[in-house]
Amino acid sequence: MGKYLSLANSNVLFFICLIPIICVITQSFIYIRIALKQSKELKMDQTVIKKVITNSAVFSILPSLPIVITMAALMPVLGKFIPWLRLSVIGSATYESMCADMTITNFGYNGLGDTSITTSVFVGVVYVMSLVALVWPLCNIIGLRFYDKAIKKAGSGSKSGFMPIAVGALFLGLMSVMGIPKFLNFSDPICILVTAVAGISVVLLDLLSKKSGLKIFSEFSFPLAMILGMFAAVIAG
Amino acid sequence: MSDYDKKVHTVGLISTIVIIIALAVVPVFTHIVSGVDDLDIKTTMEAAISALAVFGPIAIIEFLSYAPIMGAGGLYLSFTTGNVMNMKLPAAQSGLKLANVESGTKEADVISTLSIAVSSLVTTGILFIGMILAAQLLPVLQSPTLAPAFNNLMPAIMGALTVPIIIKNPKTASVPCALIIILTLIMGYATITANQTYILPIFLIISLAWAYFLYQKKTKNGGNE
Repeated sequence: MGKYLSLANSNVLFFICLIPIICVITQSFIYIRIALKQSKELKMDQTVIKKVITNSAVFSILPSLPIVITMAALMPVLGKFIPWLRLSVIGSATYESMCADMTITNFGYNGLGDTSITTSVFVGVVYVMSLVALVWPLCNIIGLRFYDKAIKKAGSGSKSGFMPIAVGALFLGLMSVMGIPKFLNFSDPICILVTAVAGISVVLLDLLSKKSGLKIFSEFSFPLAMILGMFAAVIAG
Repeated sequence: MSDYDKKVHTVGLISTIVIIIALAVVPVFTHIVSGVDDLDIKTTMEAAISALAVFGPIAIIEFLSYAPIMGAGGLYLSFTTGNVMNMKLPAAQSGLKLANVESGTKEADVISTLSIAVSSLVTTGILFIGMILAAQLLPVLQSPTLAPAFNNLMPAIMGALTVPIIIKNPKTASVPCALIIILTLIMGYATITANQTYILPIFLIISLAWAYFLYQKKTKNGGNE
Protein backbone atom coordinates (compact mmCIF):
# COMPACT_ATOMS: atom_id res chain seq x y z
CA MET A 1 0.00 0.00 0.00
CA GLY A 2 1.26 3.49 -0.84
CA LYS A 3 3.20 5.33 1.85
CA TYR A 4 1.46 8.52 0.73
CA LEU A 5 -1.79 7.18 2.22
CA SER A 6 -0.58 7.93 5.75
CA LEU A 7 -0.38 11.59 4.66
CA ALA A 8 -3.66 11.31 2.72
CA ASN A 9 -5.49 9.99 5.81
CA SER A 10 -3.75 12.22 8.37
CA ASN A 11 -5.49 14.60 10.76
CA VAL A 12 -3.51 17.50 9.29
CA LEU A 13 -4.99 16.87 5.87
CA PHE A 14 -8.46 16.61 7.41
CA PHE A 15 -8.15 20.14 8.81
CA ILE A 16 -6.64 21.49 5.57
CA CYS A 17 -9.62 20.07 3.64
CA LEU A 18 -12.14 21.24 6.24
CA ILE A 19 -11.43 24.94 5.65
CA PRO A 20 -12.84 25.29 2.09
CA ILE A 21 -15.82 23.13 3.08
CA ILE A 22 -16.60 25.45 6.00
CA CYS A 23 -16.35 28.40 3.55
CA VAL A 24 -18.87 26.74 1.23
CA ILE A 25 -21.26 26.03 4.13
CA THR A 26 -20.97 29.66 5.27
CA GLN A 27 -21.70 30.90 1.74
CA SER A 28 -24.87 28.78 1.62
CA PHE A 29 -26.11 30.14 4.95
CA ILE A 30 -25.46 33.73 3.88
CA TYR A 31 -27.40 33.25 0.66
CA ILE A 32 -30.29 31.60 2.52
CA ARG A 33 -30.44 34.65 4.78
CA ILE A 34 -30.36 37.09 1.84
CA ALA A 35 -32.97 35.14 -0.13
CA LEU A 36 -35.31 34.83 2.88
CA LYS A 37 -35.08 38.58 3.49
CA GLN A 38 -35.84 39.28 -0.18
CA SER A 39 -38.78 36.84 -0.12
CA LYS A 40 -40.32 38.90 2.69
CA GLU A 41 -39.70 42.17 0.83
CA LEU A 42 -41.39 40.69 -2.26
CA LYS A 43 -44.27 39.63 0.01
CA MET A 44 -43.91 35.99 -1.02
CA ASP A 45 -46.01 33.44 0.86
CA GLN A 46 -43.72 32.23 3.68
CA THR A 47 -45.56 28.89 3.90
CA VAL A 48 -44.54 28.25 0.31
CA ILE A 49 -40.97 29.31 1.10
CA LYS A 50 -40.82 26.74 3.94
CA LYS A 51 -42.14 24.07 1.54
CA VAL A 52 -39.48 25.00 -1.03
CA ILE A 53 -36.79 24.55 1.62
CA THR A 54 -38.20 21.19 2.72
CA ASN A 55 -38.63 20.04 -0.87
CA SER A 56 -35.05 20.93 -1.75
CA ALA A 57 -33.70 19.17 1.35
CA VAL A 58 -35.71 16.00 0.70
CA PHE A 59 -34.94 15.97 -3.02
CA SER A 60 -31.18 16.31 -2.40
CA ILE A 61 -30.84 13.14 -0.31
CA LEU A 62 -31.12 10.51 -3.06
CA PRO A 63 -28.89 12.16 -5.70
CA SER A 64 -26.21 12.61 -2.99
CA LEU A 65 -25.85 8.84 -2.58
CA PRO A 66 -24.15 8.13 -5.95
CA ILE A 67 -21.72 10.94 -5.09
CA VAL A 68 -20.98 9.11 -1.81
CA ILE A 69 -20.30 5.97 -3.86
CA THR A 70 -17.86 7.88 -6.10
CA MET A 71 -16.18 9.36 -3.03
CA ALA A 72 -15.85 5.92 -1.46
CA ALA A 73 -14.43 4.55 -4.73
CA LEU A 74 -11.74 7.26 -4.77
CA MET A 75 -10.81 6.78 -1.10
CA PRO A 76 -8.64 3.65 -1.40
CA VAL A 77 -6.44 5.52 -3.90
CA LEU A 78 -6.53 9.13 -2.71
CA GLY A 79 -7.25 8.68 0.99
CA LYS A 80 -10.38 9.79 2.86
CA PHE A 81 -10.08 13.54 2.78
CA ILE A 82 -9.14 14.66 -0.75
CA PRO A 83 -12.15 12.92 -2.38
CA TRP A 84 -14.36 14.35 0.39
CA LEU A 85 -13.03 17.83 -0.29
CA ARG A 86 -13.21 17.55 -4.03
CA LEU A 87 -16.76 16.24 -4.17
CA SER A 88 -17.97 18.82 -1.63
CA VAL A 89 -16.31 21.85 -3.25
CA ILE A 90 -16.67 22.46 -6.99
CA GLY A 91 -17.25 18.74 -7.29
CA SER A 92 -18.44 16.43 -10.00
CA ALA A 93 -18.04 12.67 -9.96
CA THR A 94 -16.96 12.61 -13.62
CA TYR A 95 -14.49 15.45 -13.27
CA GLU A 96 -12.76 14.14 -10.15
CA SER A 97 -12.31 10.61 -11.51
CA MET A 98 -11.08 11.81 -14.92
CA CYS A 99 -8.76 14.44 -13.50
CA ALA A 100 -7.12 12.06 -11.02
CA ASP A 101 -6.79 9.35 -13.68
CA MET A 102 -5.27 11.79 -16.22
CA THR A 103 -2.70 13.01 -13.72
CA ILE A 104 -1.63 9.59 -12.45
CA THR A 105 -1.34 8.30 -16.04
CA ASN A 106 0.73 11.36 -16.98
CA PHE A 107 3.19 10.40 -14.27
CA GLY A 108 3.63 7.02 -15.94
CA TYR A 109 1.44 4.91 -13.67
CA ASN A 110 -1.57 2.75 -14.53
CA GLY A 111 -4.12 5.43 -13.74
CA LEU A 112 -6.67 5.76 -10.98
CA GLY A 113 -6.49 2.63 -8.82
CA ASP A 114 -2.70 2.40 -8.84
CA THR A 115 -1.67 2.68 -5.19
CA SER A 116 2.02 2.29 -6.01
CA ILE A 117 2.20 6.04 -6.70
CA THR A 118 4.70 8.04 -4.67
CA THR A 119 3.92 10.85 -2.27
CA SER A 120 5.27 13.26 -4.88
CA VAL A 121 2.72 12.02 -7.44
CA PHE A 122 -0.06 12.24 -4.84
CA VAL A 123 0.85 15.91 -4.26
CA GLY A 124 0.78 16.45 -8.05
CA VAL A 125 -2.70 14.90 -8.21
CA VAL A 126 -3.93 17.20 -5.44
CA TYR A 127 -2.54 20.23 -7.30
CA VAL A 128 -4.24 19.31 -10.59
CA MET A 129 -7.60 18.30 -9.06
CA SER A 130 -7.81 21.44 -6.94
CA LEU A 131 -6.47 24.06 -9.34
CA VAL A 132 -8.21 23.02 -12.57
CA ALA A 133 -11.58 23.03 -10.76
CA LEU A 134 -11.12 26.75 -10.12
CA VAL A 135 -12.06 27.50 -13.73
CA TRP A 136 -15.76 27.29 -12.80
CA PRO A 137 -15.84 29.90 -10.02
CA LEU A 138 -13.35 32.02 -11.99
CA CYS A 139 -16.00 32.31 -14.74
CA ASN A 140 -18.29 33.80 -12.12
CA ILE A 141 -15.65 36.20 -10.82
CA ILE A 142 -14.68 37.41 -14.29
CA GLY A 143 -18.03 37.51 -16.05
CA LEU A 144 -21.16 36.92 -14.02
CA ARG A 145 -21.78 40.49 -12.92
CA PHE A 146 -21.64 41.77 -16.51
CA TYR A 147 -23.50 38.81 -17.93
CA ASP A 148 -26.28 39.11 -15.34
CA LYS A 149 -26.57 42.85 -16.06
CA ALA A 150 -26.87 42.09 -19.80
CA ILE A 151 -29.51 39.41 -19.15
CA LYS A 152 -31.55 41.76 -16.99
CA LYS A 153 -31.18 44.60 -19.50
CA ALA A 154 -32.31 42.29 -22.30
CA GLY A 155 -35.37 41.48 -20.23
CA SER A 156 -36.33 45.06 -19.41
CA GLY A 157 -38.32 47.71 -21.26
CA SER A 158 -40.22 46.57 -24.34
CA LYS A 159 -38.77 43.07 -24.09
CA SER A 160 -39.79 42.48 -20.45
CA GLY A 161 -42.72 40.32 -21.53
CA PHE A 162 -40.36 38.04 -23.42
CA MET A 163 -37.96 37.48 -20.51
CA PRO A 164 -39.86 34.65 -18.73
CA ILE A 165 -40.48 33.03 -22.14
CA ALA A 166 -36.77 33.35 -22.98
CA VAL A 167 -35.68 31.68 -19.74
CA GLY A 168 -38.24 28.91 -20.31
CA ALA A 169 -36.96 28.47 -23.87
CA LEU A 170 -33.36 28.22 -22.65
CA PHE A 171 -34.38 25.55 -20.17
CA LEU A 172 -36.25 23.73 -22.93
CA GLY A 173 -33.13 23.90 -25.09
CA LEU A 174 -31.08 22.46 -22.22
CA MET A 175 -33.56 19.64 -21.57
CA SER A 176 -33.88 18.82 -25.26
CA VAL A 177 -30.11 18.11 -25.37
CA MET A 178 -29.78 16.48 -21.94
CA GLY A 179 -33.12 14.70 -21.66
CA ILE A 180 -34.60 13.75 -25.05
CA PRO A 181 -31.68 11.54 -26.18
CA LYS A 182 -32.26 9.35 -23.13
CA PHE A 183 -35.58 8.28 -24.67
CA LEU A 184 -33.61 7.10 -27.69
CA ASN A 185 -30.85 5.16 -25.92
CA PHE A 186 -31.76 1.93 -27.71
CA SER A 187 -28.66 0.14 -26.43
CA ASP A 188 -29.96 0.51 -22.85
CA PRO A 189 -33.72 -0.19 -22.67
CA ILE A 190 -33.71 0.29 -18.89
CA CYS A 191 -32.55 3.89 -19.42
CA ILE A 192 -35.54 4.47 -21.74
CA LEU A 193 -37.88 2.83 -19.23
CA VAL A 194 -36.59 4.89 -16.29
CA THR A 195 -36.77 8.16 -18.23
CA ALA A 196 -40.30 7.41 -19.39
CA VAL A 197 -41.53 6.25 -15.95
CA ALA A 198 -40.08 9.32 -14.22
CA GLY A 199 -41.54 11.66 -16.86
CA ILE A 200 -45.00 10.10 -16.84
CA SER A 201 -44.99 9.91 -13.03
CA VAL A 202 -44.58 13.69 -12.70
CA VAL A 203 -47.56 14.28 -14.96
CA LEU A 204 -49.72 11.67 -13.19
CA LEU A 205 -48.78 12.98 -9.73
CA ASP A 206 -49.80 16.50 -10.79
CA LEU A 207 -53.10 15.15 -12.14
CA LEU A 208 -53.65 13.17 -8.93
CA SER A 209 -53.01 16.30 -6.92
CA LYS A 210 -55.62 18.26 -8.93
CA LYS A 211 -58.24 15.48 -8.71
CA SER A 212 -57.75 14.67 -5.03
CA GLY A 213 -57.04 18.20 -3.83
CA LEU A 214 -53.99 16.86 -1.97
CA LYS A 215 -51.22 19.33 -2.80
CA ILE A 216 -48.48 17.09 -1.41
CA PHE A 217 -48.48 15.01 -4.63
CA SER A 218 -47.77 18.07 -6.71
CA GLU A 219 -45.35 19.66 -4.27
CA PHE A 220 -43.19 16.55 -4.09
CA SER A 221 -43.89 15.31 -7.61
CA PHE A 222 -40.31 15.73 -8.74
CA PRO A 223 -38.54 13.73 -6.01
CA LEU A 224 -41.35 11.13 -6.03
CA ALA A 225 -41.13 10.74 -9.81
CA MET A 226 -37.37 10.36 -9.55
CA ILE A 227 -37.79 7.59 -6.95
CA LEU A 228 -40.43 5.84 -9.08
CA GLY A 229 -38.09 5.97 -12.08
CA MET A 230 -35.23 4.51 -10.08
CA PHE A 231 -37.57 1.88 -8.64
CA ALA A 232 -38.52 0.89 -12.19
CA ALA A 233 -34.81 0.27 -12.81
CA VAL A 234 -34.64 -2.04 -9.77
CA ILE A 235 -37.71 -3.99 -10.97
CA ALA A 236 -36.49 -4.21 -14.57
CA GLY A 237 -32.94 -5.05 -13.45
CA MET B 1 -29.41 46.67 -10.75
CA SER B 2 -31.62 46.42 -7.67
CA ASP B 3 -30.19 46.48 -4.14
CA TYR B 4 -30.85 42.75 -3.87
CA ASP B 5 -28.94 42.04 -7.09
CA LYS B 6 -26.03 44.19 -5.90
CA LYS B 7 -25.98 42.27 -2.60
CA VAL B 8 -26.08 38.91 -4.43
CA HIS B 9 -23.09 39.91 -6.55
CA THR B 10 -21.13 41.43 -3.66
CA VAL B 11 -21.62 38.34 -1.50
CA GLY B 12 -20.99 36.09 -4.51
CA LEU B 13 -17.74 37.79 -5.47
CA ILE B 14 -16.33 37.93 -1.94
CA SER B 15 -17.35 34.40 -0.96
CA THR B 16 -16.15 32.93 -4.26
CA ILE B 17 -12.75 34.62 -3.92
CA VAL B 18 -12.46 33.29 -0.35
CA ILE B 19 -13.38 29.76 -1.50
CA ILE B 20 -10.93 29.94 -4.42
CA ILE B 21 -8.12 30.96 -2.06
CA ALA B 22 -9.10 28.29 0.49
CA LEU B 23 -9.13 25.60 -2.21
CA ALA B 24 -5.92 26.80 -3.90
CA VAL B 25 -4.14 26.65 -0.55
CA VAL B 26 -4.99 22.93 -0.05
CA PRO B 27 -2.38 21.56 -2.50
CA VAL B 28 0.18 24.09 -1.26
CA PHE B 29 -0.28 23.05 2.40
CA THR B 30 -0.35 19.38 1.37
CA HIS B 31 2.95 19.92 -0.44
CA ILE B 32 4.51 21.62 2.58
CA VAL B 33 3.25 19.03 5.09
CA SER B 34 4.34 16.13 2.86
CA GLY B 35 7.95 17.33 2.84
CA VAL B 36 8.14 16.47 -0.87
CA ASP B 37 11.00 18.36 -2.50
CA ASP B 38 11.11 16.55 -5.85
CA LEU B 39 7.68 17.35 -7.27
CA ASP B 40 7.79 16.95 -11.06
CA ILE B 41 6.41 20.39 -11.89
CA LYS B 42 6.61 19.85 -15.66
CA THR B 43 4.50 16.67 -15.57
CA THR B 44 2.05 18.25 -13.12
CA MET B 45 1.62 21.27 -15.42
CA GLU B 46 1.14 19.00 -18.45
CA ALA B 47 -1.60 17.11 -16.62
CA ALA B 48 -3.22 20.39 -15.56
CA ILE B 49 -3.15 21.73 -19.14
CA SER B 50 -4.67 18.48 -20.47
CA ALA B 51 -7.45 18.67 -17.89
CA LEU B 52 -8.00 22.37 -18.62
CA ALA B 53 -8.27 21.67 -22.34
CA VAL B 54 -11.17 19.31 -21.57
CA PHE B 55 -12.91 21.10 -18.72
CA GLY B 56 -12.19 24.74 -19.58
CA PRO B 57 -14.62 24.91 -22.53
CA ILE B 58 -17.17 22.90 -20.51
CA ALA B 59 -17.00 25.43 -17.67
CA ILE B 60 -17.46 28.38 -20.05
CA ILE B 61 -20.39 26.77 -21.87
CA GLU B 62 -22.06 25.82 -18.58
CA PHE B 63 -21.55 29.38 -17.30
CA LEU B 64 -23.21 30.89 -20.40
CA SER B 65 -26.04 28.31 -20.41
CA TYR B 66 -26.95 28.12 -16.74
CA ALA B 67 -26.82 31.79 -15.71
CA PRO B 68 -30.16 32.83 -17.27
CA ILE B 69 -31.85 29.67 -15.92
CA MET B 70 -30.49 29.64 -12.36
CA GLY B 71 -29.98 33.33 -11.68
CA ALA B 72 -26.84 34.95 -10.28
CA GLY B 73 -27.23 33.71 -6.70
CA GLY B 74 -27.92 30.18 -7.91
CA LEU B 75 -24.86 30.22 -10.15
CA TYR B 76 -22.48 31.58 -7.49
CA LEU B 77 -23.61 28.74 -5.22
CA SER B 78 -23.60 26.04 -7.90
CA PHE B 79 -20.14 26.80 -9.21
CA THR B 80 -18.60 26.61 -5.75
CA THR B 81 -20.29 23.35 -4.79
CA GLY B 82 -20.54 21.60 -8.15
CA ASN B 83 -22.80 18.68 -9.12
CA VAL B 84 -24.89 21.14 -11.12
CA MET B 85 -26.77 18.96 -13.62
CA ASN B 86 -27.49 16.09 -11.21
CA MET B 87 -28.37 18.18 -8.17
CA LYS B 88 -28.49 21.96 -8.24
CA LEU B 89 -30.42 22.53 -11.45
CA PRO B 90 -33.09 19.92 -10.63
CA ALA B 91 -33.36 21.32 -7.08
CA ALA B 92 -33.93 24.81 -8.49
CA GLN B 93 -36.50 23.60 -11.03
CA SER B 94 -38.32 21.55 -8.43
CA GLY B 95 -38.51 24.64 -6.18
CA LEU B 96 -39.82 26.83 -9.02
CA LYS B 97 -42.53 24.30 -9.83
CA LEU B 98 -43.59 23.99 -6.20
CA ALA B 99 -43.68 27.77 -5.70
CA ASN B 100 -45.48 28.20 -9.03
CA VAL B 101 -43.34 31.17 -10.05
CA GLU B 102 -42.46 32.16 -13.56
CA SER B 103 -38.84 31.76 -14.70
CA GLY B 104 -36.82 34.92 -15.14
CA THR B 105 -38.66 36.85 -12.41
CA LYS B 106 -37.37 38.27 -9.11
CA GLU B 107 -39.34 35.61 -7.25
CA ALA B 108 -37.73 32.89 -9.38
CA ASP B 109 -34.30 34.22 -8.45
CA VAL B 110 -35.16 33.93 -4.75
CA ILE B 111 -36.59 30.40 -5.07
CA SER B 112 -33.64 29.24 -7.16
CA THR B 113 -31.11 30.65 -4.68
CA LEU B 114 -32.91 29.14 -1.67
CA SER B 115 -33.30 25.71 -3.29
CA ILE B 116 -29.67 25.52 -4.37
CA ALA B 117 -28.32 26.75 -1.02
CA VAL B 118 -30.36 24.17 0.91
CA SER B 119 -29.36 21.44 -1.56
CA SER B 120 -25.69 22.39 -1.05
CA LEU B 121 -26.01 22.09 2.72
CA VAL B 122 -27.75 18.70 2.57
CA THR B 123 -25.21 17.28 0.11
CA THR B 124 -22.29 18.56 2.17
CA GLY B 125 -23.79 16.96 5.27
CA ILE B 126 -24.39 13.63 3.55
CA LEU B 127 -20.88 13.62 2.11
CA PHE B 128 -19.44 14.24 5.58
CA ILE B 129 -21.43 11.30 6.99
CA GLY B 130 -20.41 9.25 3.95
CA MET B 131 -16.75 10.07 4.54
CA ILE B 132 -16.98 8.94 8.17
CA LEU B 133 -19.04 5.82 7.49
CA ALA B 134 -17.73 4.87 4.03
CA ALA B 135 -16.70 1.37 5.06
CA GLN B 136 -20.16 0.63 6.51
CA LEU B 137 -22.21 2.36 3.81
CA LEU B 138 -20.48 1.13 0.69
CA PRO B 139 -21.70 -2.51 0.81
CA VAL B 140 -25.30 -1.26 1.05
CA LEU B 141 -24.99 1.41 -1.63
CA GLN B 142 -23.20 -0.92 -4.00
CA SER B 143 -25.51 -3.91 -3.44
CA PRO B 144 -26.63 -5.63 -6.69
CA THR B 145 -30.28 -4.82 -5.79
CA LEU B 146 -29.74 -1.07 -5.51
CA ALA B 147 -27.08 -0.71 -8.20
CA PRO B 148 -29.59 -0.38 -11.13
CA ALA B 149 -31.32 2.44 -9.24
CA PHE B 150 -28.17 4.50 -8.73
CA ASN B 151 -26.88 3.68 -12.22
CA ASN B 152 -30.07 5.23 -13.62
CA LEU B 153 -30.23 8.34 -11.47
CA MET B 154 -29.59 10.72 -14.39
CA PRO B 155 -32.30 9.20 -16.65
CA ALA B 156 -34.73 9.49 -13.72
CA ILE B 157 -33.84 13.15 -13.15
CA MET B 158 -33.91 13.98 -16.87
CA GLY B 159 -37.25 12.26 -17.39
CA ALA B 160 -38.82 14.08 -14.46
CA LEU B 161 -37.53 17.45 -15.74
CA THR B 162 -38.05 17.01 -19.48
CA VAL B 163 -41.59 15.64 -19.85
CA PRO B 164 -43.45 18.33 -17.83
CA ILE B 165 -41.66 21.21 -19.58
CA ILE B 166 -42.53 19.82 -23.00
CA ILE B 167 -46.17 19.26 -22.05
CA LYS B 168 -46.35 22.79 -20.64
CA ASN B 169 -44.88 24.41 -23.78
CA PRO B 170 -45.50 22.08 -26.72
CA LYS B 171 -45.21 24.76 -29.43
CA THR B 172 -41.93 26.16 -28.06
CA ALA B 173 -40.61 22.64 -27.53
CA SER B 174 -41.54 21.44 -31.04
CA VAL B 175 -38.51 22.64 -33.01
CA PRO B 176 -35.67 21.87 -30.54
CA CYS B 177 -37.20 18.48 -29.69
CA ALA B 178 -37.73 17.52 -33.34
CA LEU B 179 -34.17 18.54 -34.19
CA ILE B 180 -32.54 16.62 -31.35
CA ILE B 181 -34.61 13.53 -32.13
CA ILE B 182 -33.47 13.63 -35.77
CA LEU B 183 -29.87 14.29 -34.73
CA THR B 184 -29.89 11.43 -32.20
CA LEU B 185 -31.41 8.99 -34.69
CA ILE B 186 -28.79 9.91 -37.30
CA MET B 187 -25.69 10.22 -35.10
CA GLY B 188 -26.59 7.75 -32.34
CA TYR B 189 -27.02 8.23 -28.60
CA ALA B 190 -23.33 7.68 -27.80
CA THR B 191 -22.14 10.40 -30.19
CA ILE B 192 -24.73 12.90 -28.99
CA THR B 193 -23.87 12.23 -25.34
CA ALA B 194 -20.14 12.55 -25.99
CA ASN B 195 -20.66 15.92 -27.69
CA GLN B 196 -23.45 17.31 -25.50
CA THR B 197 -21.32 20.23 -24.27
CA TYR B 198 -20.73 21.45 -27.83
CA ILE B 199 -24.26 20.81 -29.10
CA LEU B 200 -25.82 22.60 -26.14
CA PRO B 201 -25.04 26.25 -27.08
CA ILE B 202 -26.42 25.65 -30.59
CA PHE B 203 -29.67 24.29 -29.22
CA LEU B 204 -29.98 27.12 -26.71
CA ILE B 205 -29.77 29.60 -29.60
CA ILE B 206 -32.25 27.60 -31.71
CA SER B 207 -34.68 27.33 -28.81
CA LEU B 208 -34.40 31.04 -28.02
CA ALA B 209 -34.80 32.08 -31.67
CA TRP B 210 -37.85 29.85 -32.14
CA ALA B 211 -39.44 31.12 -28.92
CA TYR B 212 -38.84 34.71 -30.05
CA PHE B 213 -40.40 33.97 -33.43
CA LEU B 214 -43.52 32.55 -31.73
CA TYR B 215 -43.61 35.52 -29.34
CA GLN B 216 -43.39 38.06 -32.18
CA LYS B 217 -46.09 36.19 -34.11
CA LYS B 218 -48.38 36.17 -31.07
CA THR B 219 -47.72 39.87 -30.37
CA LYS B 220 -48.45 40.85 -33.98
CA ASN B 221 -51.65 38.77 -34.04
CA GLY B 222 -52.67 40.29 -30.75
CA GLY B 223 -51.99 43.77 -32.14
CA ASN B 224 -53.99 43.08 -35.30
CA GLU B 225 -57.11 41.93 -33.44
